[in-house]
Amino acid sequence: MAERIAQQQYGCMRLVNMKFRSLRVVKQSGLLVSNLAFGVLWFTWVGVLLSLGIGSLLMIYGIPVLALTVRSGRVIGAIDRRRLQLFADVALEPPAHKQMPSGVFPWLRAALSDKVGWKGLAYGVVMLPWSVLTFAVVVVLWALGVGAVTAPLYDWALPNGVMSFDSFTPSGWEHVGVLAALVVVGAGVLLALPMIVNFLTTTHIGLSRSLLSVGQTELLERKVGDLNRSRNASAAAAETERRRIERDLHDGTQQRLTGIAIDLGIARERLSEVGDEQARVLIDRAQEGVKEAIAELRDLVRGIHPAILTDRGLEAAISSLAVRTSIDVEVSSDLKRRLEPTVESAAYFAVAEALTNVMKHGGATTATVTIRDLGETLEVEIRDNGVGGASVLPGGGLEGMQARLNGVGGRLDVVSPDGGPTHVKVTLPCALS
Amino acid sequence: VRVVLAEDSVLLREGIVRLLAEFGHEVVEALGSANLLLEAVIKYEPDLTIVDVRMPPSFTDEGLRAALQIRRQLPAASVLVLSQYVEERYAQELIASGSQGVGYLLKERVADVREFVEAVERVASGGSAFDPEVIRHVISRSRGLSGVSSLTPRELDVLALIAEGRSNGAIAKAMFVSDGAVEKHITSIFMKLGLAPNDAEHRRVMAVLAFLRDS
Repeated sequence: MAERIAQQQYGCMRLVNMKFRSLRVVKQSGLLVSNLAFGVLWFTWVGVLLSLGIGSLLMIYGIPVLALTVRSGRVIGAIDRRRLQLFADVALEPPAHKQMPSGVFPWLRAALSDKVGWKGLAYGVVMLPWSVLTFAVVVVLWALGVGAVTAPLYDWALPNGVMSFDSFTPSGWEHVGVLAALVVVGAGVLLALPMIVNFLTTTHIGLSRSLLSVGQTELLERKVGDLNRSRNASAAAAETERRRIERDLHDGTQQRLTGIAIDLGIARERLSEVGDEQARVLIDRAQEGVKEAIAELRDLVRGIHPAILTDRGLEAAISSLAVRTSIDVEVSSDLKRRLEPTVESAAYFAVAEALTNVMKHGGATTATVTIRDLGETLEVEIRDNGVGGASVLPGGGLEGMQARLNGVGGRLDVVSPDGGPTHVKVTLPCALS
Repeated sequence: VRVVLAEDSVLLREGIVRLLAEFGHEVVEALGSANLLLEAVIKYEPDLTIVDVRMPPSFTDEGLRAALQIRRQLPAASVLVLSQYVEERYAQELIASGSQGVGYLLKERVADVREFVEAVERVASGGSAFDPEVIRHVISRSRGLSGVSSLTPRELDVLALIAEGRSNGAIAKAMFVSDGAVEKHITSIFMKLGLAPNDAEHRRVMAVLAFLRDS
């Protein structure tokens, strides 16, 4: 909807392009002329408050005054960003809102160390000379242009019909020539005016952008932060979903099947008392089938999300995995804490995939899994004594592992020369940023 | 045998109650969660407590935690833990909590009615019952040990059954051999593992498990 309105607005602008341009000169001039009022206001504001604050630093109220002054730098920024939007249709990205801590001293410290506030104050100071310049240039140019172009009108309106410049009073053709020259000069000034005003406005926007807005780097950082957050959110959502499926299967289907198996067991006991051999064989078969289904379901659930990972964490889950692997796997770990579910899960499934690869292709007889808690990051290494030659191929298991790790900001390094051994290293951030 | 049972699934709870009643055992209290279990055990002083690992409110391992707590507070109480999945780690925690009257089985073992009831009676009388799946993992992990690697396949089978907590008679029945043959196997196994021969069946289990775990 908003897009359509914007399109319509754009269409209108094209239709009234000329009108828009002249409107732009007027608006930009308004900005540059109003600069003076705000320049004087800001300079006074900053000058008075700052000197009050610094001057009374030795007094008890000096620091609070200074802190409030710095806070007011943000207000200056907010007002002038708004002014810029009004006059120049430029919406500057406002700096990040600062979360102020509670408590007097933390608050003061935070206020005084607020870069955005200080930049706002700097802007207030710089604005004075700059606004004088923009005001002077714009007013002089407008006056000159309009004045010169309308000189014939002025001339015609004079009571004695002749205008004079001090001692020189043109007459006859001279008079006409002077008027024509004035009109030409005025027209030239008016034609040049939009460009000059636009140039000054652009400079003013640049000044505001550097002092009242966020830098390109910060803007990118902000974007990266947003992307990280949304990526982590989707990883967490997938993780929650996996756990829900695991729980449903565990507490629903599996329980039900176990109940059936038990009932069949009881039925079998009763039948053996009666002595119906045929029925007993049938029930035996049914019971075996149910038990196999339960075992298969258990493996499936373990593949979706192993319960021990939730209960006891990464080391326990990987040890359990190692026990279930057909080759000798030695697990060592210095991880003593629980990590985010998505991180634990990503690390677990990376190891599971790596061990599956070791069994399938590596020709290995032993493997080691080393879990290292490096504070900010978690490092998991899987080494085997196999023949090597593993690589990240499209559609392969390692690629799937890489994708899953990338989903939580992790990395996969595979070193597997022909002839072996294979060394897989998984690096993950411990906390999601 | 007087039993206190904690199992959140109504279906299974009733199934187990029915099954135990069939064999003349009494469930004196059946609970749907683990939080009142300890009180019930203190109140009824049952011969055996049967508890599911996953129960409300968090559906993780509160049943196991409750079992460990019971073992800590009432060392003489026998506990049989049931679960949809078995973890060697949990078995170790249970063994470490005391060596008398402890069991850890997959839930579906309940369906093998006779063996389950046997396990119930064994654990209630101070013996042990560990799931074949747990034992399989324990043994396969220790296959490289010098003592274990010298065992014959037949002896490995017997070793597994000992570790599960089965009596000589039960082992003989499961392997379709005579009691005497089982005893011969057991003597040979204990010699190869360098363990002192032990007549008390329960201590024998613990000796084997300790050997498999620690060496």
